[in-house]
Order: sequence, then C-alpha cells, then structure tokens
Amino acid sequence: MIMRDRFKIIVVTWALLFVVAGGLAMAQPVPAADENIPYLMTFGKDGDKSWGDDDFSQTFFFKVPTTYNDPFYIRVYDPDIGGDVDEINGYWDTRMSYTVYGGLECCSTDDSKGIQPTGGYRSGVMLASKVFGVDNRYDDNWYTFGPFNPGEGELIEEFGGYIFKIIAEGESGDDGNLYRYFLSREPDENVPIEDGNAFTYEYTFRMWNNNENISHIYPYVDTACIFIKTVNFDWDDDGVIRVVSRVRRGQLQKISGEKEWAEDRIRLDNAELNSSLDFQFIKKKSALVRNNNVVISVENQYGETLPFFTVPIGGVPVYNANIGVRKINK
Amino acid sequence: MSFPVQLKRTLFVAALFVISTFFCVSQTYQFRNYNTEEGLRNRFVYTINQDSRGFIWLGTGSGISIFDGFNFYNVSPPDSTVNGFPVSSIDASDGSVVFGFSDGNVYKSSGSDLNRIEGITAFRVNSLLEGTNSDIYILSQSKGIYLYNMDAGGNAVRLHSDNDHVIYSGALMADNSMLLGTQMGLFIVSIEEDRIVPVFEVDDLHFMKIQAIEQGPGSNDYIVGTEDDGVFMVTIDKGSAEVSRLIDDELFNQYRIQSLMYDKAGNLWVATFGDGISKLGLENGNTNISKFGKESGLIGNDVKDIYQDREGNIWIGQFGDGVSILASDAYSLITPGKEGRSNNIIKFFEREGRLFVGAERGIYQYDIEKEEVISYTDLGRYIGTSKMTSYCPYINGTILLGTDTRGIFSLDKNGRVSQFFISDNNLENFIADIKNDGNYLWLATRSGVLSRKISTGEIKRYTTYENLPHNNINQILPDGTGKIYVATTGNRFYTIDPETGVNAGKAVIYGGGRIEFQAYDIDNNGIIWGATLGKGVYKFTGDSLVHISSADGLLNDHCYSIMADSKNNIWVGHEQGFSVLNTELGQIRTFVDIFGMEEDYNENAVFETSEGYVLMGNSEGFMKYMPELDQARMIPPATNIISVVIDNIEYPLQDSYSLPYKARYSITVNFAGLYYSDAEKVYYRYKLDNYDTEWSEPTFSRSANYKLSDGNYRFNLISYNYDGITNNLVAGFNLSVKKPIWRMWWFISIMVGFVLGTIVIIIRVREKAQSKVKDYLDSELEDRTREVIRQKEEIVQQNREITDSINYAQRIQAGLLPSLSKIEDVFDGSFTFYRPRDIVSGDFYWFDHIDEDRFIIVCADSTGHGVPGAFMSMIGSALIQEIVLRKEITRPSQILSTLDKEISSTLNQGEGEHTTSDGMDIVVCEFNHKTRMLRFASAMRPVILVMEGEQYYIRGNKSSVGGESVSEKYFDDQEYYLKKGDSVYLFSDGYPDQFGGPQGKKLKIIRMKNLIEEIKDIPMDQQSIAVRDYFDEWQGDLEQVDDVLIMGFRI
Repeated sequence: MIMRDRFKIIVVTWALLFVVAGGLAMAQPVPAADENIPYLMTFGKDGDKSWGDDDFSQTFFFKVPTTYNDPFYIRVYDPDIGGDVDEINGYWDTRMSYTVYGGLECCSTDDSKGIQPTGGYRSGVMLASKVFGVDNRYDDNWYTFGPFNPGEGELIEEFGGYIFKIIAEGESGDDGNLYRYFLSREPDENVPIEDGNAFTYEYTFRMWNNNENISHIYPYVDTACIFIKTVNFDWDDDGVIRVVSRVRRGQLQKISGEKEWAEDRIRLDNAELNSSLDFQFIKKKSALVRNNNVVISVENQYGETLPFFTVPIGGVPVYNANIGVRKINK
Repeated sequence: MSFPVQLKRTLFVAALFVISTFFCVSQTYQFRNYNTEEGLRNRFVYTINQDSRGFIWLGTGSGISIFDGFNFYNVSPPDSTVNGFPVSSIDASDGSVVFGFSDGNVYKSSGSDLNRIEGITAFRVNSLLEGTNSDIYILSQSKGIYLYNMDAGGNAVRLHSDNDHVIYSGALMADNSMLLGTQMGLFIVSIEEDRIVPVFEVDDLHFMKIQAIEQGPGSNDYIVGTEDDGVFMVTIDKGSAEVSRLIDDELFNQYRIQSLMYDKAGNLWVATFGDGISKLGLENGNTNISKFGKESGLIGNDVKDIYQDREGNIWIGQFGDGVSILASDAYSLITPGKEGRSNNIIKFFEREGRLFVGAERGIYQYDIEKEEVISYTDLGRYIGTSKMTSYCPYINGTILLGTDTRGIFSLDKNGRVSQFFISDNNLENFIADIKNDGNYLWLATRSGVLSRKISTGEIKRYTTYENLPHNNINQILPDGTGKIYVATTGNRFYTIDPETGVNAGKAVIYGGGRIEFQAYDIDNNGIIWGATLGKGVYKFTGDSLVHISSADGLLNDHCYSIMADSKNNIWVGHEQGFSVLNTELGQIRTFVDIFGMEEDYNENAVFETSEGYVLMGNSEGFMKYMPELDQARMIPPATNIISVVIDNIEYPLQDSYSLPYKARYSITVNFAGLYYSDAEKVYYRYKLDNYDTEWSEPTFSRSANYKLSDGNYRFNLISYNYDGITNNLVAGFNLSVKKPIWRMWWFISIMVGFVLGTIVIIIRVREKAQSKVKDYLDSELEDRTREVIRQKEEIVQQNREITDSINYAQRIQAGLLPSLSKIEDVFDGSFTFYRPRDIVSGDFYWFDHIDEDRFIIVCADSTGHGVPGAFMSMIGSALIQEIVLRKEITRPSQILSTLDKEISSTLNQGEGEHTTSDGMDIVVCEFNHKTRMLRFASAMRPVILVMEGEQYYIRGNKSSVGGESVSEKYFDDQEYYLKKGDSVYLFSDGYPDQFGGPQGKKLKIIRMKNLIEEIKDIPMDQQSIAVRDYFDEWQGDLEQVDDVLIMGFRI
C-alpha cells in the first residue's frame, strides 16, 4: 500500500513536471517547476543560522527580454510572515522587506549578486519596496509589485534582457518566511512573460517535508569554467547532493551538517560547458528531516559565483550513457 | 500653490469625516487616449506638466514628448549619453518645465530645448519643489536634496543631511520647513542654509511609503498618499502632527497611490497603480468618490501621474498605456442595466420630479443626481418578443408603453401592466411615439396619427386620406397650443389641429428628393427644428427655412433625434455620436464614439431634465451632459507657432528669421492653437504684414503658405476655440529676406563710388592720354609746323623764284607787247586796260603799221591764264607777227585763218596722244586811217563800235583760233567806214566775266555796254580811268577771275 502511494506520488510529480515543463520556456515561477523546490526561505535577522539561512537575505534576479515592452509585475506568494505557510519561532514577530531594484548596477557588480548582504548589495535604483509582518491579506495569497517599466531594468546584453533585482530580507524577528515569486504580465494572475527568466547566485530554499521529492537547481557553466566549487550550508546531512550532466551520471558532493559549510569541487568536461548542471537534492530515506532549509552556491575557478537559472539554460541536462561498441572479430 | 476654492475644500475635508461615501460605478467618461501609435515617445508616462506657452510636456520611459493637441514632438537632452528618462517634473514660475530623471539628472526647459542643471550626482530624482525666490528643491531618491536657484543659475548644491532617507515625495511648508515622504514614513525637516536638519517624524505613518504629498485645504494641512495604506490628512502644528485618514474606506485605503492633485474646482484626484483614478469631490454636502478606471472608459488602471491643464482637462499619465485626457467629465455614459437590452435606452420623461428612463425591455426610475437606479420594471414578460418603442406618462400615475407590434400597454402606479390599445390594423400597432397634451392622447403609428380624446375616449385617425403626406409617422410633437407637429415623409412640416385637421407648413423644401422627418422640436424662440433621415436638419422660421447638413459640420445627415435645450442648444443624435448646434454662435460641435463603446443614439431618445442635464439614450445606456462641468469652453486656446518651413526645410520657431536674398522663397508656417478640449475645432486667422492686406478668413488649417521675395515681414496669428473665444494675443515672428546685393545701400554707394571713381579714373586716364596726345600732337605740330614752315619757306622760296620767274616772264611778255605810243599816234585817243590775272597774261594785244595807211590791231584772249596763257599769248603774238609782218598777210580774215593753222601746226594739234586743244579768241582789225575804213575779223570775240554816237555790238565768227578740230573754220571780214569821233572797243572776256557787284554776280556784257554808253563821249584817257574804276569797284574784294584786256580807240 505504501509502495502504491509512493508510486502514485512519483507518477503524479513527474506528470506535473512534464505538464508544466511545456510552459516553462516562458514561465517565471521562482522556484520553478523543474526545480521542484517548495519555497524560498528567509528568516528574520534575529533567527539562528542553524535553521538554514546563513545571512537572512535572499537576492533574486528577473530577466525581462528586450522584446517585451509592456508593464510587468513581480508577484510574491505569501509575502507576510504568519499563517500556515511560514515557520514560527515562538510567536510571530518578524518583519520582512521585499525591495525591487532596477537601473544601472542593480546586477552588474559583485556586491549586487547578494552572496552576502553587505557592501553595495542594494545597488541600483529602488523601484518598489514593502515591509510585511503578519498580514492576513497576503497570507497564502499573492502580493504584486509593479507595474514596472521593462526599460527601468539594467540592460545586460549577455543575459539578453533587462534585469531587475528583488531582495528579501528579514528586517526583524526570528521567524522563517516561506515564499515564492512569479514574474508576471498581469497584476492579479500569474501570466508568464515569454522568454523571461529568473536567476540567483545563492539559493536558500526549503526542502520538501517528504523524502520522495527530489529538488533541483541548475547552475549554468560557460566555456570559461574549468572546474567549479560547490558550497552548501546546513544540509543537516539530509541525504545526498549529486550532480548530473550530459557526461556525469550523478557525482556526489560533500554535504554540510547542522550550521556547517561544506565545499567540493568538480572538474568539468568539455561536453558540460555552455550548459546547465543538475544539482539534485535527495533526501535520505531513513528518517524524514522536516523543515530542512539549505543554502547553496557555485563558483568557478576564479571565485566567480555562477547563476542558477530557474529555467535551465539549454534545458534540463540529461545523462547520455556512453555505450561502448566493439568490433567483433569472427 | 493657491487655493481658489479654499472654503469649498475646507468644507469638503470636513465632510469627508462626517458623511458617508459611496462609489459611483457603471459610468463611462469621455477619454481620449494617446500612445506610441499616435507618436508618444513611450507608453510609460511618468510625469506631465504644461509650460507657459501651453504645450504639454510628457515625461515617458524613453524621454520627453511635447504635445500640441495634434502631434507629439520628441525632445532630447543635450547630452546624448544620458541613460535615464524623466520621472518627475514641475512647472516652474518662470514658465519653464523642470524634469528630474531616473539617472539623477535634472533638465530645465527653454523653449523646446532642455538645459542640464549641473552638480547633481543622484540615481533618481523623484520630486521637484519650487520655493520662494526661484529656488528649486531637487529631491533625489538616494542622495538627499539639492538646491538650485533659477535666477542665479550655476550648479545645484547638495544640502547636507545626516539622514539617508529614500525620498519619494515632498512638500514645502511655510516656515522654511519641508515634508519629506520617504520609504520609511513622513519626516519634517527644516532647511537651514545648506543643511537639512531633522525636526521630527510623523509616528503614525511610520514604515509607510509616502508616495505623494499635496498641500491641503489649510495652510498647515497636507494630503499624504501612501503606497498601499491609503490617503491621510496631516496637520502640522507646533512641532507635532495630527494624522487622520482622508477616507475611511477599506478598499480605498488599499490603493497604491502614485500621485495626488487638487483640481481647480477643489476636487482631489488620486492616481493609483491598479485602481485607476479616484476623484474626491464635495457635492450637496456629500463626498462623492468618482472612480475612473477601465470600467469607466479609461484604457488602463495603472496611473502614474495626473495633471490638470489650464483649460481644466485632466491628463492621465498611464504606466504602459500612454496618456489619456479627460477633456470634460461633463459628458458621461451611464449604463443603468446589467445586460445589453436593459441598457438600450429609448426614452426619457419626468413626472412629479422623478426621472423615468425607458429601455428596450423595461423602464427605470432613476436618480440622476446620485446616478442611481431607484427601481426597474421589467416588461419583457408582457411584451414577449416585441420591443418597447415609446413611453408616455398618462393619467392617474399610469405610464403608457408603446411597442413595435403589440400596440400600447399601460403600467399603473402599482406596477400592474395591462393592454391599453390594440388595433386590428397591424400598422396601427407599431407605436413610434405617444404624446399626452392634456386633452388628447396622440399616437404616431405606421398608419398615420391617432388621437384619443382623454375625456371621452373618442378616437380620430389622420392619414393620407386626411391630407397627411405619409402614413409612416416617426414622431409627434405637441406645441402647447393644442396642435401637434407630425414628423413624417414630406417636403414641409405638417401639423394637426383637432379642430381644423391637417395643415401644411408654409416653408417648402424644393428639389430635395424624398425627405423623411424623424423628429421635431421647438426652441425658446419658437423656431421649429426638424431632424431628417439622410438630409440633416431643417430650421423653419415662418415661411423660410435653413438647411444644415454634414457639409456645415453636422456629424451625419442621418439624424435620429433632435432637441432644443433651455439654452437653445440643438442636440441631434446620430449613429455613434451626436451633434450640438450652438444657435447663438452658429457653431456645431460633434461627438463621435466619445466613450469608446460604439454607442448608437436611439430615435427620439433625447431629453433635458428639470435640473438642466441633457440625456441622450443610446444602445449602451445614456449620455448624461452636465453643463456646470463644461467650463473649459471659455478658456481661449494658446496660440503657438510650431515651426517654419523654408524651402522644405523645417526650422523651430524663432523670434525672427533672416534669409539671404533669393528671388522667391517658399514659406510654410505651421501653427496650432493649443486647446486640448477640442483641438480640431480651433480655428485661426493670420496675416503677414507687408504681404497680406487683411487678416485671413477663419480657417481650420494649421499652416499658411507664402511665396516671398525680398522684404521685411511679420507673421501674425490669432486662434479661437470653437466658441469663438480668443485671448487676442497675437503670436508671430519676423522674417526678412535680404535685398539683392545690388539693391543694398552700401552696394549702391560702393557702385556709385566705383562708377564715379571709374569716371574720374577714366577722365584722368583720358586726360593723361590726351595730355600725351596733346604733347604728341604739340610735338607733331611743332614738327609739322617746323616742316610746314620749312616747306613754306621752301614754297615761298619757290614761289618767290616762280614769281620772280613769272615776273621776269612778264617783263618778257611786256616786252613783246607793242608800245602804246604807236596806237596813240594812229588814233585820236585810245586806251588799253590790260590787267593780267597772274602776272603774266593769256590776253595780249598787238598792233603795228602794215603800211602807211593801214594799221593792224589785234586783241586776243588765249585759252587759260597765267603761264599757260602767257605761253599761248607769246605763241599767238609771235605767229601774228610772223603772219602779218613776214608773210604780209594783212586781211584780218586771212590772218585768223592762217593763225589758226599755224597754231594747230605749232602745237601739233590733232596729232598724237598728247594733243592739246589750246587756242585763242581773237579779233584782228585792219584800220585804214585814210579811208577810216575799219575791217576786222573776229574769232569768238565781239567788237563794240560807237559810230556817230550810236553804239553797235558786233559779234564775231563762232570759231576760236586753234584748239578746235573743226575742219572747216570760216572767218569773215566786216568793214565799217568810220567817221571822226567814232570809237572802237575790243576786249577779252575777262572784263564781262568778272564776279562782283553788290550780289557777287558777273559783270556781263550788258553792264559793259552800259559803261561804254556812259563813257563814250569822254576822252579816252578818262575812259581808261572810268573803265578801270568801274572794274575795280565791281570786283571789290573778290578775286579776279581771268585776265582782263580792253582796248579802246577813237577815230
């Protein structure tokens, strides 16, 4: 019976993935369906890092293609801190700010990547901001930032569009905020922008509270990469993190424990360049770790952080088995 | 900031808290939308303002556009590397517009150009404020506040501040303080020289994003708009702030407010992202919140900025949908029903102060003030598939309901519906109109007009049989005197009088073809207005009429309704629009699809309420016109010249244009009367000084063309709005086309100088040349004179020598002449007057004795004179002597014959090429003094004899001696026996041929005869003197023409 349920769950999950994947080319939910991540996670700044957030700040970037000239919106699901979706620590006392930036340098400087919320990580022109506490209006509901003028973003040619940044920060309190984003054409429903995308340089997210779901993130490696360094924080030894690519069936990474950092390196094969890697977060089957949050980032050999695209560039990588062929000598 | 309606606003704010509010929905307004398709630079409009010239400046997502009501003109900052775009603006007191850009730059307009204000290093300028003394405060999002003085110019100066607020908005306060709307709330700061000093924070607004601040009704009151926490009234008093919500409405307080604006009427306009615009106004003690969004005709609900121009038009800067203009909220579309047919409004009437609005399937009782439906009676189940065509109040609170197939129903005051009229004649069951004039109920049907006497129920029919022109009746109009006007097909209006029947109007329409009148109305002056289907409108005044059609400005010639309102405006309904005729000004305004609903205006569905509202029923509801809101019409257009096109090159407006000379310039002046309420209806008059003699006729054209040659011109322009309102301010510019260089005074002066100089130079050159010539000539003259003198001397010498020679020859010749003593011995007296012309003479004489008794006298005149004559005389003298003395030929005739031969022989005459014809005229006399016989022979010379006192003139032979080649010459002798005292005169032709006398004539032989006649008796010596004197006197100063010889002797 349990096996049948698991089977059902797996079938339904993958079916959903495939159904949604058809629209992914122009879908900007964050986390994306391909990633199978339930929520982004940010704690109030008084929280404990052992709860899985190393800096109480998460920076995400949205790409609006240059061909899109209409107003757009950045919608936040469950932006407040309270209710069923968020993680309470004692009582609800957390205020969370969401700030949208555009303009020059909102994306193009090192600090702007938001690996650490220091220096000029709030670079760019603030376009919108809102602080949430407990707000029933937006509990389990969407709040919409915008409309925004696509031209107010920072034009990054290599990304092929205008880049906007949204920083979620725990201003006060110690509760955990679970939320999602959506880059939308409409203010009151999620209508994706064709060829839009979203990315981050440090991913802080909540794992599923079941050990059947595998979460994915997709760092993109360009031709300049020789090897990459993966960094994860507070994995709580909850299973494995493995890397899949066209030529990599599933290389395991060093995993972090409670409030720990773990690093590992991967030497890249030429076939892996100019494509996305698939970092798979596979919870252990033995004991379910609930409410596990994890932080992960990837650097190249120069220490440059690589972006995780929610819509993986080049598509979800699939391992191509190398089938050996040998001439039979009769 | 001024408050023209201060009291009204105060009341308004007070009312906000004590009176309940309500939202007015289901209303559509007259918006005009402009987007990139119309030339707007970008669809994201951040800020709107108007400069002193009347142009609307729009800050968009990719730069600035200027709008003149017709066209958008892009304006770019002078720095081409600018990355930002305008996000804020202010219309400064100097007439310019100052823009704050997203990249921190600030630009100030100058005409249609932008000048950068230097010294600002900020990311984004969210707000601009003007203080006293031309100070502009520049509120940047990230770098605090900068101060720029428009009079002083120079760089903007950053005001130091210890706080790092993210500023979105601000407002200046009276005490040199400032309200700052920030990301984290509202702060009060004071401005102390170059510093911003914090005073306090308004705690009640902590953590609220203050997006907009507007001066409130009181001097210390401020309206504060937050991103999504509503609108607050903040009153600052002595270091504290009192905060209250402006509207206590949950929905309103969730609006994400972007800007606030008080309009001229004291209404507060609130622009939001996501919820369009709200207008908060005080009316009849109630606070009305009028909402303008997609549901009311606005193209989008994301509004970034809102602005009211000088005409009162509301400009709506949309975020992603361009800009919209609410030219007037005097016109709105009310949709009382929920579905299509319940909004198809066909009739209005009032009864007992209540407005009834008849729809296709039911009837509303409607509160036109509140714009609320009081009740609705659905008639669908009574009329089945029929449609309502007319409504009419009847007796006892009953309403009659006309249908298109089922006659008339009645609706009583209890809501019961019953059949009121049905006819066996189906054509009578189509009720186009029902009218109740108090005595009769009048029905317009397709089978003529029916009247029903209310008191008796008596029905009477009026058809073509009763002289109606047609049985299809569209409308009936009681005139208040018992008559009704019948709108039907005909070439005149027809009336029905219950007493006299059908009557035709006096004014007849000739040649118009089939004319179907749809409706009539009568204005306050008793003029009848008739609307036709396809022929426009006819105005009947007595027996005259005026035709008004689309050619005169009517929207369409198909007119479905007509009404004269209380102000004598004529309202005419058409498909998708309506026309309004202003009878005072004779102007027509047209309105086409003004609500964007493609609404068709229904037949006879026009009405003026007792409050003065005009209602027009259409397929989507009904249009409500509120005249008290139609204020912009008295504002004149702002006259502006846009550009000047010179020979196909467009130039922006300048005060003057100076053009080099060209025979003919093509000039086009583009202009616009900035009148955003109805730009198309602005008309113009213009005049080009020094070209046009009069102002042009009014024209809607926005350009004027000229072909100009040299001269100084000034273009003048006046614009008028559609009501003829103008500010009489003439816009213009100067234009001068330079004269050709050859007509310039300096050129003329130069040329005159040049010509004069040239003349002087020429004169001088010529003088010099002449001087040279003179010198040369003098030299030549001197040389020539010297030569002449030399030659003269030579000639003199030669002449002297010749003269000497001739003189010598004369002596020789004189020697050859015989001595006169010989002749004196022979005669009693004699004289010889011998005067050679040239020293020597061709004349000669000879005489001698040939024997004792006879004496030969010869008087000869040789051909020629001078030396040749002398030669001939010498030859002749020698030959005569040879002939007479040697050959002893004595007979005169023989002497002549012989002499003739000898001369011919001597001169070889008749032989060879060089033969001469020289000879001589000669007379030879032989005188025998014994016998006194005179024998003479003459060759060509006469002889005068005076015998016995009688003078005889005796001609000689007609041949000369020698010279002539006459083979036979005959000389005969003539003999005369003379007596004592007779005289003989021999002479050459020199004497009678001499010119002279008083008239220079020849002396002639006659005068000579007379002379001889006079002197014949005096002694010969005295005769000699007389002959000489006479000759001298006759000759006078004239030259002697020939040798002269006269010989006279007396027997």
